[in-house]
Amino acid sequence: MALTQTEGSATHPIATKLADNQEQLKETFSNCSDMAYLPWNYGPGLEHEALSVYFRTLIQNKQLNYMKESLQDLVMHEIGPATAVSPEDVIQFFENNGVSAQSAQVLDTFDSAVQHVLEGYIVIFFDCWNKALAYNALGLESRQISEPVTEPVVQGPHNSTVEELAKNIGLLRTLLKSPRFKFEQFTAGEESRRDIAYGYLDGAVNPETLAEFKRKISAIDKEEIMETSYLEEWISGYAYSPFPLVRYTERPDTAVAALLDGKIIAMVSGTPTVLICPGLFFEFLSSSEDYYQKPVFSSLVRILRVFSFLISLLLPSTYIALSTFHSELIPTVLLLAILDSREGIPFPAFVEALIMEFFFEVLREAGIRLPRPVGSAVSIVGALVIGQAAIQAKIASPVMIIVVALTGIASFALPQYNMATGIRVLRFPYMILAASFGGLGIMFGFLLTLLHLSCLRPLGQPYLSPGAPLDIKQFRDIIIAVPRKILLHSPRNRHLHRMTRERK
Amino acid sequence: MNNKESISSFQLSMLFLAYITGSAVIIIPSPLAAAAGNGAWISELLALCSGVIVLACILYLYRHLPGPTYIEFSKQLFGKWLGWTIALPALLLLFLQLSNIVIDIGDFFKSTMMKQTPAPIFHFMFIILSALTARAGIEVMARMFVLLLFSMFGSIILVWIMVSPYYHLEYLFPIMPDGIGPILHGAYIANGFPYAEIGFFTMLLPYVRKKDDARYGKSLFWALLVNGITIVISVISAIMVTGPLAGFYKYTLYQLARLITFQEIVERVESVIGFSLIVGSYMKASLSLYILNAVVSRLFKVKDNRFLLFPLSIICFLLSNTLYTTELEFVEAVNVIWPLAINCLLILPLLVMTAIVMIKQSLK
Repeated sequence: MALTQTEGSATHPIATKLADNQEQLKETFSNCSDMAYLPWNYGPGLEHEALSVYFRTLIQNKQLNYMKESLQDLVMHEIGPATAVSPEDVIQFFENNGVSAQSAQVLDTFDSAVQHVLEGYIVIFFDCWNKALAYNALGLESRQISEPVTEPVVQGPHNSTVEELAKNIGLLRTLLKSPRFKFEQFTAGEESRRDIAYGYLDGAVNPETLAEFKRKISAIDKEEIMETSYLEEWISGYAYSPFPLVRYTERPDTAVAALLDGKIIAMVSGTPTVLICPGLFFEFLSSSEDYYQKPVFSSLVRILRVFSFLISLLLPSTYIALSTFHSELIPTVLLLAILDSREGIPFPAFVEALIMEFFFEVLREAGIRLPRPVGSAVSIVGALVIGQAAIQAKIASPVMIIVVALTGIASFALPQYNMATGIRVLRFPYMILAASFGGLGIMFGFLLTLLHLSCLRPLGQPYLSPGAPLDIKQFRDIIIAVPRKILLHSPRNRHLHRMTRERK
Repeated sequence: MNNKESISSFQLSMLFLAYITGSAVIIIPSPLAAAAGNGAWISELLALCSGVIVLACILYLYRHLPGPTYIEFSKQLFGKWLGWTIALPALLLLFLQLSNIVIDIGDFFKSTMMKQTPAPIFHFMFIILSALTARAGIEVMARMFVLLLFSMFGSIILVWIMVSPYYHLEYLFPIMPDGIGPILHGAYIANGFPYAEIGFFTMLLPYVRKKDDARYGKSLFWALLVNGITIVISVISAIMVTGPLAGFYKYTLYQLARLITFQEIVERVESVIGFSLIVGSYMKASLSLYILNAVVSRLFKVKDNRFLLFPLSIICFLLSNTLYTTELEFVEAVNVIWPLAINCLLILPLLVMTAIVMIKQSLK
């Protein structure tokens, strides 16, 4: 585990006298009930003092004594019986030879000693020595690598990232065995001291994008980062846009594919989410699984997704516009059916749609937050009972229920959850526009949305690329998934470092 | 001017295509057919030739005189004060042009889909939309309009194909029932709108990337050709479907779209087609506003080139509401006065300047 060495800024040196150190430690860690101080003696007649400091909660008891063992190692190798060790021997040995034990290091400052204690190290102070030894003994249980819950696939690897940063990086390294795969780490936050790592494939990544990314991420070293999504605001820079500008994944294979595409990934210790940036609009309509299946089938799925994007954004507003302004567009038989079903409904289509959409969102939110056993009850009561009863009570028309349900299902068909949430937000302005101006309103909203999308440049790359600016060769791969072998211009097929062209 | 923004020559030609095809393709076939009858497509071809000349002139001037604007050309050739006197009327034309486009959009909605909505609402919506678009800058426009052009041309081609059952080849003949006169009249209308307006497009030439400098002339001519072909086919299909009535219906393509039926499920889709056509007018309005803003910003030496955008939009919004009291007045202004005005105030000085530069060059 990489640690930020606070050497150099040696504001707070370690005292030579052990008692001073102990006093200082007790002051620093006052009221920390899980802190353990273990004084012990060594040397001839056990007259020399040493002190082990650690958090009981971070170190599961089993490893308590292995610093003593390593000390004994030193004794055996250097000077014979343990009883003869003097502080001078200890100091001389560690200063000259470094540390032989694999997970130990010598600390110079008191601050770094405190930091190491907090990170699950056992820190040993010796009397008469102004340095300390730190042994990594972090014994916290972490979750096993399991199936990705939020991104299941039919075919392809079934492992997901976990809460432990080192494990995640290891997972990625096993999939991408290249020295060009770089990983940089730093620690953020004054209090939480979370490790943040970002990786990229040197040569595949656009150097301008990387520079921009580094510039932006360097601003967050003072922020308390709780989850990877905290990074999004700093990286994307468009806090008020409803559209997602970064992708998230829990799948190592997705992350590696993104790296090959020249993306930058970022991870935070303590959370399994991997952030992929910059996220471009059309990438939110594709999934890593597209490349695991036959291109013909994936193409069909992609086209379906484009439609479900449009449906989930526009269906309620289109229904409102059609039924209030452009009823001539509806085929006569269907129009009669709609009119028939709407007979006796007290609300105009807009109000009806607004109410239904509102309660659909409430149901959805309730379904997510409730404990799992109750959650299914909510969906049964909400969807079946209320839906059925609302129609029978003539509060909502069956057509409207169909519209709302289709909208909801279509938004679930999008592979990226955060794109679906963006659409949920935009749906309501569209409905208002459709109710006031009909098709013109929808067009107005659509042009505004398109304008907004064209304005977005996450990390300097146009959000709508390769659609706008249009790049036909790249664009092929967006709507239909072309076979990888003959698709020379696919990112995954691209040999390292295609010349980065000027920004468009 | 913010020279950081840059577009490729392909994008420039797409902007150019949007600029000249935008509102023209939906509006011009009707007055053309009204004036020239069956020979409307010949008028269009003649007007296209005039467009080629104008485009050649501005490219030539841009290559030989430093400075991107029409105003700077004239300042360099005629000196400061005389240059201003010659160039200022052209600036007024820009205001008129933008207002006319917006009025056209309002008129389109008012006469086709939304008859009860007051026109200023449409004017306001589209002016706001154009102002926001122009504010986003030329790069964003270049990216966005390419997508919109695809949808626009897609629906135009769809109309051509879907109304093909109604084509009557015999309506095309006789080609020139009344001799050359009406055809020249049609050419006069189409020359004023959209081809003389190419003269304003110089403002956008400096945005082309330096390495693309050599290529944009060619791609602009290609765009002009595509525009000409589109309008000619639209005119011809209008004549083939409606025959002598072609000049009678406004918004020809929209009216043609009313005829589309498919299996009794897809019918009366004209409003869908209408929306994707009117997007063209929106693109042209945005570009015009951008050009207007760029010219005025240079005129007053405003550093922040977005500062004047909203004041100018308000002016054009007010103009669009007050310029014409009746629709007839508007039709006359666009079909009779506008070509004359733009030819006298913009094209004539442009031709004179080109001639002067050519003579200067040959004397060297």
